[in-house]
Amino acid sequence: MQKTTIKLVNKEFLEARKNHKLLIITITFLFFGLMSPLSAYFMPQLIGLISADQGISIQLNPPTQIDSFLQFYKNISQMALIIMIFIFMGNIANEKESGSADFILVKPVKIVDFIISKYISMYLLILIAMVISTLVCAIYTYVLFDELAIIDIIRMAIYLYIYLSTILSLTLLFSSIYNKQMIAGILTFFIWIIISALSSFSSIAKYSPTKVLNEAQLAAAGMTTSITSIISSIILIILCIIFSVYGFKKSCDNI
Amino acid sequence: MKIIKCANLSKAYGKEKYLALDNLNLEVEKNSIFGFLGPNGAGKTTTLKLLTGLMKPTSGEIYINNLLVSENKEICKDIGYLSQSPSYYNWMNAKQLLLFVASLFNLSKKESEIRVDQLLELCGLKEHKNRRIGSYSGGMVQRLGIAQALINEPDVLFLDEPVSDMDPLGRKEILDFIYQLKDNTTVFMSSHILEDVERVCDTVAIINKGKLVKVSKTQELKDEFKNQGGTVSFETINHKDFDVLKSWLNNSLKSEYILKDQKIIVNQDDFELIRNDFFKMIGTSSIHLDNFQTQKPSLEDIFVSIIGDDNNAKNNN
Repeated sequence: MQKTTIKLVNKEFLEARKNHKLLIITITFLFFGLMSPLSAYFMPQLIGLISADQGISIQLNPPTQIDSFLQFYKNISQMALIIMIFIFMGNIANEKESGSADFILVKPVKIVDFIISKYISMYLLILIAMVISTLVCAIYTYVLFDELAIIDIIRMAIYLYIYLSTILSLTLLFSSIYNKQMIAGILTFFIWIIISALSSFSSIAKYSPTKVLNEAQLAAAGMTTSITSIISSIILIILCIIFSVYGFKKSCDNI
Repeated sequence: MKIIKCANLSKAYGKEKYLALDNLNLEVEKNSIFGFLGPNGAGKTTTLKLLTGLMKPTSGEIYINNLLVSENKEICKDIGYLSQSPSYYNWMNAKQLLLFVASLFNLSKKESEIRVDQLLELCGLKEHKNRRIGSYSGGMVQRLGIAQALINEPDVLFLDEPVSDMDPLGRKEILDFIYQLKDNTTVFMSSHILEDVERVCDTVAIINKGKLVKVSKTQELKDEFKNQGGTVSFETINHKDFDVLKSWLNNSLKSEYILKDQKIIVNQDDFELIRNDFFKMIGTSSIHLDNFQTQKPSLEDIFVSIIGDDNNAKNNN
């Protein structure tokens, strides 16, 4: 990695700390890491109580660690991801709009270093939050369910991390092309919906980032998984970075 | 020696190919202060973004220190840039920001500390170095902007409206500071505040609607236009004399004059046509002139005249 990129990544981390972005991301993930095992554990009891109140008898199987993992998977891949899109949608667009990108790029900093530093810092921030929340989820699962398939939760977390990184790469792509963060956010949600819809077409489903989510689900249940979707997601991430650099250059020339 | 050379520089925006800059040819002498004047929307910021490599020209070439700007990121080591509305990281303090900039130029830790302290002192921010930039006034941000642009001791310093947000005292301080820089640095400064340009710039270029209208040494420009826009004023306290003078001017002058209390203001060009007759009349009559004054045109008068003529020519075409 270029020396300049490392300096810019350091700056991004300092910024995330000072602007409380690091704290918000960590708390969000930590919350789902804590809540997922709890809700998986207490949900059958809760449903039992509510249904008893209404005179209905529902028989649910006792929850297992797999339910805890799946709850974590659902929360991270939906709720946490939506929050992360809001957090990162202005990452590049705001710097362009305010002019601080010009301040950096008139120094010996290449556009490619600037963009890559944004991606790397985002991946690292998410990684830190993901590691902490997975650890908390694992500990809580063990405490509540008295069992823990450590390899399965790690495998699931890896797939989840790849999925988050792929969708958030789209956010940064749009953030580097457009000057308004809202456009970046809306376009990410739009493409996210399209990607999810495309996964129902069997011919391309195995290459879709949504397939990574299916693999995460399989990993949580202790089943075997494939890495095809990981490879296609990584290709998509690389394409996002390349088009970010190209789109950023193009948008700078037309401001 | 010419340090900046622009040849046939043009920039078009968008699908409509709106021409923000049209065939600009410009050369800037080393160690001079070059004023780049123009009304809002004339193409000043576009030119600066092209010169600093932040934008690519649609056509044409720019050389700084004989290096082609569009192909050399290395040029960034030789230049400093202060944008029109500078925005820095509000969560940083001035010292942090300058150290960060120094690190981007690969200055050693010791070098950085020395340079940052020097610049904080020079720009009057030493006492505020540990305050968050977010709490700075517009003038302080502008000073910080100049400091960060100077961290690499650039050969060329590009300043886009450097004192536009400052109070008169701050403006004077910064302009004096900019003036001192020319021993080691070439300053390319855009502005619409003509008084500032007049105060510090050796050479002035005037741009209007993307086209270069005039380039000249500041003094030569003023000499060239010394009669154009200049005025002659007469003052007489005696009402009777004042009426006689008015009546004489009414009969002799081809154009109109301006009246202000007991003062009559005449365009200098028009006065030149009747000068001899005027003094003959004063010599032979009993009119007592309390004040007679000729006023040379300021750069502002010249600017208004040039831009006005250029706009009229464009409208006629």
